[in-house]
Amino acid sequence: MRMSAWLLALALGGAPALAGEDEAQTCLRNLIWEGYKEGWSVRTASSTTLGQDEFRVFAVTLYRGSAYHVLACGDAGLTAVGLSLYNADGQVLVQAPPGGVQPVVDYTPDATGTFYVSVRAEAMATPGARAGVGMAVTYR
Amino acid sequence: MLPRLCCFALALLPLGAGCGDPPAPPPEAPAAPQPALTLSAADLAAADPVALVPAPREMQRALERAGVAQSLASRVSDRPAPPADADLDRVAVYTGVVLADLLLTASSATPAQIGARVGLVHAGLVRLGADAEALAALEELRARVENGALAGDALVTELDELAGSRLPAWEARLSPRALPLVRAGAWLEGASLVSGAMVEAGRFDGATDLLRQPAVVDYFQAVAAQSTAPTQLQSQLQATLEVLDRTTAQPSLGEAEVREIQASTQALLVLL
Repeated sequence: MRMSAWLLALALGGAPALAGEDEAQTCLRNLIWEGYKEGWSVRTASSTTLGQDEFRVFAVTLYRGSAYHVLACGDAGLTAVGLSLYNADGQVLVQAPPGGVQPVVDYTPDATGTFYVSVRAEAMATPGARAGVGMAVTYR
Repeated sequence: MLPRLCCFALALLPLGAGCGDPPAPPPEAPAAPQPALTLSAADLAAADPVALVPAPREMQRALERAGVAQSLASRVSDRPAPPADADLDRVAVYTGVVLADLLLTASSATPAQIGARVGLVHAGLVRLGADAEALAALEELRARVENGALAGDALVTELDELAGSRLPAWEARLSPRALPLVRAGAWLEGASLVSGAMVEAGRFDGATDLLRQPAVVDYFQAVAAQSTAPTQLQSQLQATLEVLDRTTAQPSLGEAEVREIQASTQALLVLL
């Protein structure tokens, strides 16, 4: 059945989308494990399903002087994921470089406080579809 | 001559080398980068708290960075498991405390001690409704620790990843409020250990950066308020969080606040 689906999708002119949060979580876990080799530890990882331009906002506490590496991963249903970090008032501090489905934001606060992270589905592989996106906060 | 040249040119048309071919289209320009999302006050108020609470090892690193040369692991003590008839709130908070202890002592405790703590976390998650997949991961990890196959940095990494990455994914399979209360237990244990370390070291200059987390306190107060269980633990949990709420509402923390935090968190932890 799966082979037929692949062939059908190729015949229709595109690779099949392996949508789902499971794929995003797997992608995220691979990045987290890679990060451990560089001294990053994970605080929390989470995933969600988003449609075009939909977003999710996370509140995060960041410690003064600790380095943070915030990751996001989109599944094959996405062609661009937006990732940004904001201060407690909702002002943008850092925006991940545009394009791609594995954006990263790095930040070291000069005071402990509450910050916010937004993850947005900026471009879908298939119009009208929904896709899985994961986000993780890592630190060292 | 001219007609022959045109015939020659026409003959070359099928090869794509004739006169009048349209110019190749320019390469597609990359899509213009989107500006960062603008967040409204409502967006901030509705923000997901899943990543709000610092991890125990993160608290240790922050403590070290603040110049307090105290090992939180050395301050961890064994805690007996709750009785079989303990309510699920108590089980969840206790499980969080032991999870924090496990993460903080993973590089210093003996395999038997680590295995015992993994066992307590496992038992807690069983009572909180964890499914076979979650329990199997813990059982497998415990077996590798106890037979010496997993230790040191590799153990720390696996425990860290399990607590930070896999445990949140199990939340929907646990009883309601279980994971937030597990987080509360872990954070309160961390706050107790950090404040105790600062008191012992006589160092309070980093108190604001280490312990002033009003959003975390607000989050746990909201979780605690959902309980209808009129237990002593529940009452103390709310009392402890009220002290933390009042303390962390101040713009800066000093020795008095650190001692208050230590005392109020200890008042809860002794009930577990």
